[in-house]
Amino acid sequence: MIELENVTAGYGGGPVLHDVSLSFPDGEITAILGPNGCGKSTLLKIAAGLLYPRSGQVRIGGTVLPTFKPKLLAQQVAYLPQSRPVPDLDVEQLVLHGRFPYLKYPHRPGPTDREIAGRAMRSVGVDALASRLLSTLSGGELQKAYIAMALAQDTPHVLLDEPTTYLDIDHQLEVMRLCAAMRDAGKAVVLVLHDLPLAFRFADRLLLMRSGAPVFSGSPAKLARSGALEDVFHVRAHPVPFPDGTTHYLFLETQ
Amino acid sequence: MRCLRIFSMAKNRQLVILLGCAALLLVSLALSLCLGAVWLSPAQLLEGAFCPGTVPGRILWHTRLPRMLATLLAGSALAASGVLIQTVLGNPLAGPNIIGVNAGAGFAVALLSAFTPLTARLTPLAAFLGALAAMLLVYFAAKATGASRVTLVLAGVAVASLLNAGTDAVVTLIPDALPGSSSFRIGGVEGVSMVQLRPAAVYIALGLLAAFALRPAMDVLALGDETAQSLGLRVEPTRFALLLTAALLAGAAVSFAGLIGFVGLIVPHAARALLGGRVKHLLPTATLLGGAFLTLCDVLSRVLFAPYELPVGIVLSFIGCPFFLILLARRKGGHARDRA
Repeated sequence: MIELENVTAGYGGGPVLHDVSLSFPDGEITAILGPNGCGKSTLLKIAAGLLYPRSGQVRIGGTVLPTFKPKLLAQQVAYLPQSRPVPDLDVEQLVLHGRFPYLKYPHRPGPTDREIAGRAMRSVGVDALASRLLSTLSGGELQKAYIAMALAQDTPHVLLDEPTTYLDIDHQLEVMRLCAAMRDAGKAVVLVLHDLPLAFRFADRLLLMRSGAPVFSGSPAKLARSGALEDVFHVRAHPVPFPDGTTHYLFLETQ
Repeated sequence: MRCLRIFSMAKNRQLVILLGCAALLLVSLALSLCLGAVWLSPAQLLEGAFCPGTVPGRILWHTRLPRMLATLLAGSALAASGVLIQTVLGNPLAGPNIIGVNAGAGFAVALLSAFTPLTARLTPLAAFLGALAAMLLVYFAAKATGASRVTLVLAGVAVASLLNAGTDAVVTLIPDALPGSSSFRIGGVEGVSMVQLRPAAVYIALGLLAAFALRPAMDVLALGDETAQSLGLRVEPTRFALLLTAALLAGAAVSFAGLIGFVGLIVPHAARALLGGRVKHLLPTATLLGGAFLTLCDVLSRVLFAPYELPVGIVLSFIGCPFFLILLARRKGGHARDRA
């Protein structure tokens, strides 16, 4: 569980987040939605402990933030940024880097670490790519390799910044199913998403943001009824019941 | 199963390449002792080694050995420095000259010779301090504006231009300041003495030790700042330590070999190409390859137009640049550091 209390945060200039209080519970997928520049990524970095708030408090697993040593924090939270360089590594080496927080100098992974990395690669389905260079992978394979690294990091909290952007629909669904599997394993999964249908389908809780503060937090069904989407995105979520009992949503613009 | 086999083959291939580079280095060092204006046979070398008073002995101890050590030290140091800088800046175009090291060292040497002539012993120290000062200036200028990898490169280019202008100003205003200014700018190791090499060798040994000690951190930093930080790496101190080490290595090399920073750009790329894009053994491979490459270039510079000699910097550029271009053309996909 990650909790934010009266958090105000930003980089150089004015604050990007204003007095935000919320929590990301274990065993739930929370999707952060909102227009570009509303502070979604900043919120994620604050929750990951990578950025310190100017005021307010962040607690990760009950511990107040600045008291963590970097490696202990890395044993608590895995975070995948939106963009990153593609290093000259193969998939297995990348996934083994997920064990870095647990290794003492000279950071050489042992048999247990290799086993954990192997398990992470199998559960994500990249074990067949273990010896492939990252630069030869497709976008979807690369994203899965990074998710395997985050799994190998073996943390109770997993934070992903736009994990499905630039992926084809097949890989988008696969990434979301992996998130659901992490949720079912009891992790707190937090995603920044731009894709409303994906968010409504897979997330347990939606956090809608606008100019640095959350304007709605709750289940997809509640958000669809609330009217908050109309204010922020100028679309309305129309529930479409399917014969198998599930409800999906269709997003149509409001006049 | 098949994948596992390919993986172990790839691992073995890397070790073979590493050993091959070590062998190449040994051969080039031997050639460097044998070849030159006068050919020394292995028997003469042995004789000279034990009887420093004889003619082969004097050639060996006063000319060939210092020169061999100079190219070994400078080549390894610059190549290792290049690996560190390219990794820290995440920029394949970066080299020791990008963080202002060459320019800083050159300016310091020019200033020293202008104001206190006849202080050859102080040159290595001045070069190193100049390199260090330039690196710190670049680092803090970039940090003040956000410390992204791109601002570091831009700040480096700006500081290097500033310091090079300083060197040119000193050389123009006080023409006698730097008697060997042209050979310093081209880069060369002819006439290098043990007095110059000794302090530089200490810096380089320390720098290589630090570079190898920082390897695990460097591998994680290559994943990008945010990923590295989220894995528990202290990004800023690590980056600073790596840049400091790179400045130490390159500054020490420049102090006796002049501005041959080009080695630091091409050798890491050659090593990367040899290793097939896997960086696990990049630092040791590039270090060995750098020493071998500069030593071979120096041997060629002595042999090509014997009894006349070219400064090794010229040979380096004539061989290194075409080789580098061929390498670039062969890596059609370009460098795999584009943003995902």
